[in-house]
Amino acid sequence: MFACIHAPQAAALADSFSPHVEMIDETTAVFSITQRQLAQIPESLQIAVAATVETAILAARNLPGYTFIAPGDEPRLLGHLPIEVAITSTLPPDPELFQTFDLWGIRSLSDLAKLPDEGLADRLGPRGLSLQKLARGVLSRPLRPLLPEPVYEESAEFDHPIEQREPLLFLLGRFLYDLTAKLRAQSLSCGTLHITLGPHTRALGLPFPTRDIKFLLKLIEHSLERHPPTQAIERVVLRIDPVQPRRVQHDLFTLAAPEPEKLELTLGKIRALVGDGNVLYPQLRDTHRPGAGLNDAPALAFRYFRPPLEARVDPQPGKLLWTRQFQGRILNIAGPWRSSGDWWHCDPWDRDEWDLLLSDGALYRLVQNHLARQWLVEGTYD
Amino acid sequence: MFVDFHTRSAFSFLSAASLPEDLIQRASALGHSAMALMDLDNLSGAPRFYMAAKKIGAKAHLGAEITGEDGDLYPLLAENRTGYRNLCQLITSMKLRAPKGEATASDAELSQFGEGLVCLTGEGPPTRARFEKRIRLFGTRNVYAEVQRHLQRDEEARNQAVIDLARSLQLPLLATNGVRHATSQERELFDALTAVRHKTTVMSAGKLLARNAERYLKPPREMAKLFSDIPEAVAETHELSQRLNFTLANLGYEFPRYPVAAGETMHSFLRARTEEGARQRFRPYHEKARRQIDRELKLIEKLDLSGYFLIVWDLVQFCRNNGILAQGRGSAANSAVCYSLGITAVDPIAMDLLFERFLSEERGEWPDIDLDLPSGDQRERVIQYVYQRYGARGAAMTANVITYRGRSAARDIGKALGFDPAALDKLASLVATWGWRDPRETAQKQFEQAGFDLTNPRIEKYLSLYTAAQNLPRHLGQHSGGMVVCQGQLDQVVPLEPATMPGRVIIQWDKEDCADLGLVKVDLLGLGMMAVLEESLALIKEHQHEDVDLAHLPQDDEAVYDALQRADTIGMFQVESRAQMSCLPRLKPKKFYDIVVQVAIIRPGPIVGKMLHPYLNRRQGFEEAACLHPSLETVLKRTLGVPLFQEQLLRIAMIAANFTGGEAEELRRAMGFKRSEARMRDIETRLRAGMTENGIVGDTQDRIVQSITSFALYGFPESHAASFALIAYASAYLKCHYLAAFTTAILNQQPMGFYHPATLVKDAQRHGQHFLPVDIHQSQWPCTISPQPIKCETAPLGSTPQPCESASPPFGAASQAAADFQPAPFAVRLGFNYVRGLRQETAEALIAARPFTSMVDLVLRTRGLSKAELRMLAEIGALNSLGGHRRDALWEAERALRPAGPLFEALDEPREPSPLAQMSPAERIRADFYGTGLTIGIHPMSLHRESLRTRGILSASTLKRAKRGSTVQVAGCVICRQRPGTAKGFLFLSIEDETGIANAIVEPDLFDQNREVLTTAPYLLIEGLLQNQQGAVSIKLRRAERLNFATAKVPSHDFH
Repeated sequence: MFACIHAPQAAALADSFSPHVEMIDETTAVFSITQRQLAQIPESLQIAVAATVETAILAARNLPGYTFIAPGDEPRLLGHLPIEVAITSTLPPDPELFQTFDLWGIRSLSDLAKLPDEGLADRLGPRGLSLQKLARGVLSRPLRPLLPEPVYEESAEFDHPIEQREPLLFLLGRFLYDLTAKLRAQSLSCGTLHITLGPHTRALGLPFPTRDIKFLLKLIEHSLERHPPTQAIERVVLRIDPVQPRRVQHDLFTLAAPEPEKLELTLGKIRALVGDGNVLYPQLRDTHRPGAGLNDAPALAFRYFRPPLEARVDPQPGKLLWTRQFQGRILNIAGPWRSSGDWWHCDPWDRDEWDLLLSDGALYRLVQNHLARQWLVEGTYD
Repeated sequence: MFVDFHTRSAFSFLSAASLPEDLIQRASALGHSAMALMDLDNLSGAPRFYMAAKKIGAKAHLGAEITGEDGDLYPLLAENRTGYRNLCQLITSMKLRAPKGEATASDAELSQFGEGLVCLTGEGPPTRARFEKRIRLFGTRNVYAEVQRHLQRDEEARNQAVIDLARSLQLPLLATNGVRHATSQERELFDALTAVRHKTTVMSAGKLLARNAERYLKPPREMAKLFSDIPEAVAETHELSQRLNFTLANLGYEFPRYPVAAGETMHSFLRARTEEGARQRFRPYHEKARRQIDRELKLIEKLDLSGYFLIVWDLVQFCRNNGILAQGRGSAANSAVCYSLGITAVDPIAMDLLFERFLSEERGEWPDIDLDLPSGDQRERVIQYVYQRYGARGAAMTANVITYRGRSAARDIGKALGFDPAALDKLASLVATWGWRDPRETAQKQFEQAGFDLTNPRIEKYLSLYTAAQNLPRHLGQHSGGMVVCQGQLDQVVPLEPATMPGRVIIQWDKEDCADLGLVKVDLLGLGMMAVLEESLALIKEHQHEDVDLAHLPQDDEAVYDALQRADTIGMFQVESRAQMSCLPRLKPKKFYDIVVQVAIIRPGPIVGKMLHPYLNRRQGFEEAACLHPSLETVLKRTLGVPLFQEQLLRIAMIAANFTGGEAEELRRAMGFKRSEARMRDIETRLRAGMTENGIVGDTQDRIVQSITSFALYGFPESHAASFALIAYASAYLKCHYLAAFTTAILNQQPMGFYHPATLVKDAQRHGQHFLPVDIHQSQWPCTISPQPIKCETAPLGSTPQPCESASPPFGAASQAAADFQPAPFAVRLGFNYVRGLRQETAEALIAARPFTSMVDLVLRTRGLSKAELRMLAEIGALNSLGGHRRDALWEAERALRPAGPLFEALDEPREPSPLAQMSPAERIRADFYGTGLTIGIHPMSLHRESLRTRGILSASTLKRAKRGSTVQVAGCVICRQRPGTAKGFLFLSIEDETGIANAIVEPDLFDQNREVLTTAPYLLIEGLLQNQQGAVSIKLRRAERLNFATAKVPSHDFH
């Protein structure tokens, strides 16, 4: 016999009866039950006991309290259930099938049970027959108990703490050898490495799935170089998060990119040199916003003042330009060059620019920020 | 002095943000005396630009920016008429040979049509090769090196290169402004439209957006200052303006001449045809008619319009010879010549219609003849005849400029501002979906209620841009029926382009533009009811062997007027709406002119102008038929002192305010003109001044002005009403006397009219009409007529006769309406066109392969029959003639649909009895509605009648007998919900039960409280106060309750 519990704590309750439990969803658990255990079922529980797994599920989900269905009693106890409720509680929904039953006027499980086997098989095939068996309470299948997830982990503890890198890498190499073999057996690959050295655990996320021991070891070595352990190591644990392996289709006509393993190792070296947060990628922004793009770039090289210098000026030839750093008379002037944008944003811009040749011989860019009502010298042309 | 030659308007479709008339008005206000419009690959904005310029006395140069094959743009200006013709032909040539939106001009085309055109170097890269190519194509004299300044650094470098090249190639320099919007504030809208054009958002558009807001119209002085270092570039604009001497005033359009035999003139031919026709039409051809025709013909000759009349006559002849019903509408019905030529069907002399409304010497514009044709294929035949008669480039449909309105603006602007789909739906739904909007609901309030934060800059911008985008052109569509024809080549007058519909060509101007520029348009309008009439006549001839002549129907048919007076008008043209039905028992039409009034009176014009109730009161003798002013008595006598028709208002303007005929015509055009608010205000001022001059002041003046201005949007001409009334009378006559044919035809012409086919069928049944269900062995694609069955249909070959579970008995016995209608000797057989999801080719395959001996036989021999189609046929009972009931067929169908495999294919199927129970009546109704959208069986409400009766709920037919002012309850399925803009928030609801239709009126507050139930419930129980105004029964709703019947959902026509 099989029992099905339909309750919020279904898993825990089912575990108290049997170690082999099939979880249908978070609130429905099925397990096989012995005659002796039947007496232990509390009356208050929403539970059904039947000769087949599917019947037990159907009854537990749709009938209140404790239901015991003796073999042959299924039509009497389940026949009145509406067909759509009954089917969706055990099988994935199939709108076309529901539509067919609706058109046929089949509303309950007993309606379905009464249909001729052969006629139904001719029309709805094996799926129809299965449903009919379910309606008659004779659909059987083996229990599919939940098995624990495999853990890819190796560990070692030492009487004498490890103080040198080579023995540690040797040990980690051996761990990797065993773990990648396990992964290979399951057609999986390595996604993230979790290395516990003494009290500290570090996670090394891989940019691509791999089982290449040499590469993984090199990566660990770079990590140890960047962040060496701060104390002697008495315990080492290596755990791998498994992922689906990488599948790459090479193309005859595209240039080969650097091998990802090599690129990652190079980046690892650079990070080790300049620090993790200082490795960035250049990106061109598609906007007219000053300073963000390359458009409208003058032919001359431009050197930005960071921050720009506040100025006092009347942009006319012969007038004075004054900043805290320098002052001078305007000899020649070009502009204004006007730009504005991001008007839909909380940070729009609207400004005029002038190119000024100052009496000090340098060429400056003067900016009038209309929104902030500011005059600024933004930089100088080389 | 500066003239701007490079200005795009919103007619560049999403490439600029201001209307042409706004641009020229703004330019003029800034001190420009001339300006050129140069839209992208079209001249659509040219008429508006020209008309606006003409009004303010500015010079309007025309041109277009043409996309070349190499992607380069060629800004071209028309120097003279040759240049304009070439520009039109160039655009036509490139547009007609490419898919919509992908047209480019080849070098050969640019060269072929280059004469008379001036080319600017444009905004492209300043390379010698580009400049030299332009010189090669258009000649050195006709190329100008263009410099623009929008305060951008890289533009200066470009300008320097242009100046160098211009000097080297000896080209004149020309300063232009590359305008995209009239004012700098419109830059935001321009950016949003740019994002829409590129199908992106302003956030992602990046450098596609403008760098600044400098592409706006600037005063000449500012432009001179901007180009102060190259003054010759500004001076050259003046020179070029002097050189360009083309305007749309000398368009060169000529209406086609009608070919006549040697020795004849067009006029003598027209006179002969008119005389011939008049003898047929006027029986007898009396003196008054002769005098009128002679007067009209003289005027037609004087205005040289004979050709026009003959061409329309030729079209009508084509229709007649090909069995296509055609009837002129509009002001043409005022003409006895049109009546004699068979163009119109209303006798203008008997009706005393005003000829001057149609044609007057003073107006100097083409008369307007619109033809109503059966919608669908027949109309298309006439359109194709016009193309064939005048050549592919001699005729075209007028365009319909699709502009941004409520929802479209809400969606596009929302998308451009990056709102997600859910927010977009919400924003679009905020735009009024119902006809009426509460004035208290401001946009801000609506947005707040919908949960949008108005302090968010994006929402704030959305609101302003949504408003600014209203009325901007979005794209060119095709007008429903306006055709323009031309003597010679139409593409020399206006560019042509392909319409979305294959085989159609449109011009780039809309009907108002055509009228402004004197292009003659013939409207070939598709009217569903014309198709119904045509099909009815064919069916009557085929089955009843009678020739019904619509032109000579009995004038005062008692059955027709009885039905009209009783408001028993479902399916009848123009008089079937809920509002019409509530008015008919009060107006009680007794003669044809009453139908003319009835057609015209239920319009927003008379309703807003508060003319409906005074007229009805006067008609029933409750009120004295007083006139607005004694001087207007002759004009208003026929309508009991209440102005109802456009003609009357024109005459009022002429009599009371001394308007000339031309001014009155201007008034008329302002009335029907969607962009005429300013014109209407101007006219009102003139009206008041004229009336004051004639001593009509104070309240009388206000009432007259209100009468006239309330027609601003929906004025209805008397002649038009008369034409419609004729169709209404014909439809009523056919319904009363040939119900089977009329019902068959109207079912075949759906969608049309006010009611869903389900309502039409129930109404016909109440009048004694029998229906037969869709049958695999009997039905055709359309609905057809069958001889009346005695008891039941005979079963086809190989099957035993079965009870006709869906064949409908009429409700005639109990129906009062049925008594007034002639019993139908024929039944209507539903066609395969009503089977949901059944393709026409499958239906044709079924018809070709039948009869069938079994389901397997049907499946094996019908090519292309899908699983869903077979199931649907079984579900609606169309397979019952194979033996058994619907569920037997469904059981069999499921078996027949499963492939047997090659081994067993040839085996005979053992026929086993189906284990399935027969469908209950409720299930059958549900299946009928699901599968055909209607049922010919019992009404769903009759299943619940017993329980309703025990609750004291009345049926629709008993309402008439209930006491006025009593509280009544009635239940039914909702067949129509209406909340018209003129009804101040009232909802009109129609519910149907097995005995008829009950109407309810819901007050705005009650509607707000019960909005969900009233707008979504398929079945309603309503309770309210019974109102009975001279036979027009309605319920003033107090309470509405959703009825949760598990039967079918009856479809409702909602107008919101």
